[in-house]
Amino acid sequence: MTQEPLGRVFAALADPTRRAVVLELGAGATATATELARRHPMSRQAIAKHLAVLEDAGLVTHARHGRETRYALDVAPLGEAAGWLATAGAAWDDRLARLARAARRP
Amino acid sequence: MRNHVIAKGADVPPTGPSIEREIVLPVPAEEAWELLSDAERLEEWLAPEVDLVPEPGTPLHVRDDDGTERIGVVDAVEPGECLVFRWWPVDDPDRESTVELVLEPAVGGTRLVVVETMRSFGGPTAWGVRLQACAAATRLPTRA
Repeated sequence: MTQEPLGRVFAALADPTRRAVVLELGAGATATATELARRHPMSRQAIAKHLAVLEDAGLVTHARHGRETRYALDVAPLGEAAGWLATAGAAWDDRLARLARAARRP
Repeated sequence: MRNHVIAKGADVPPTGPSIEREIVLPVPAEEAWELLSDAERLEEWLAPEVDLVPEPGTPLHVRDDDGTERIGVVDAVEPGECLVFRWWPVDDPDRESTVELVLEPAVGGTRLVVVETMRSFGGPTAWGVRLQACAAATRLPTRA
C-alpha cells in the first residue's frame, strides 16, 4: 500500500462506494456511519472500513458528539489531485504542440 | 493476428485519474510511428532528453526542460499503432503514471491519442479501452 498521500487519495477514490460517500458528504451535511450505510446495500461495519480508507487519505474527518461519531468531507486532498491533472494536462499540451512542429519538419 | 508482448509488471492496470489529449498529425502512419518510437525524434517533442527503446520490459529515462527526471519501463508495443509505458519522477516513485500513445488513421494524416493515468494502488481492476486493444492477444491476470 502506498505511503504517498496523493496515491492514497487516488486509491481511496478508485472505489465506487467511497466515491459515493464523498459525494454524499460533499453535499454539505455530516453523517454517521449508520446513516451512510442506509444509503448503500452494506452494513455499518462495511461502511466503516470504507470510511477508514477515506480518513487515511485525508478526505474525511470525524468528530464525536456524545455517543455519535459524525463524518465530514475535507476537500483539501482533492485539490492536490486536481492539481496533478492540470499539470499533467498542460505538459501534454506543450508536448503535442512541439510534436505538431516536429511532424512538419522534413 | 496481432503479436503483442507485454512486459512483466504490467499486469497491474492503470486506475486513477487520467487525462486524455489528441492531435492529428499531417503525416502518414509510418512517419507518425517514427516520431513516437525513435529516441532522437522523441527528443524533438516529448522532452529534451529521451532514452527509450520501443521494446516491452526495457527501462526508459526522460528529462524535461524544467529538469524533472523520470524513469520508467516500456509496457506494451504494437509497432505502428501503440506504445504504452510507465514512468515516475526519480525522487517520487509513488507518483507513477501510465502513458498510452495510440495512433489511428485520420482524415489528413494520423491521429495520436495520449492517455496518462495516475497509478492508483489498491484500486479495482479496470483496463483502459486502448490498453485492452494493445494487449488483445495476451491474457493477463487481473488482480482484485
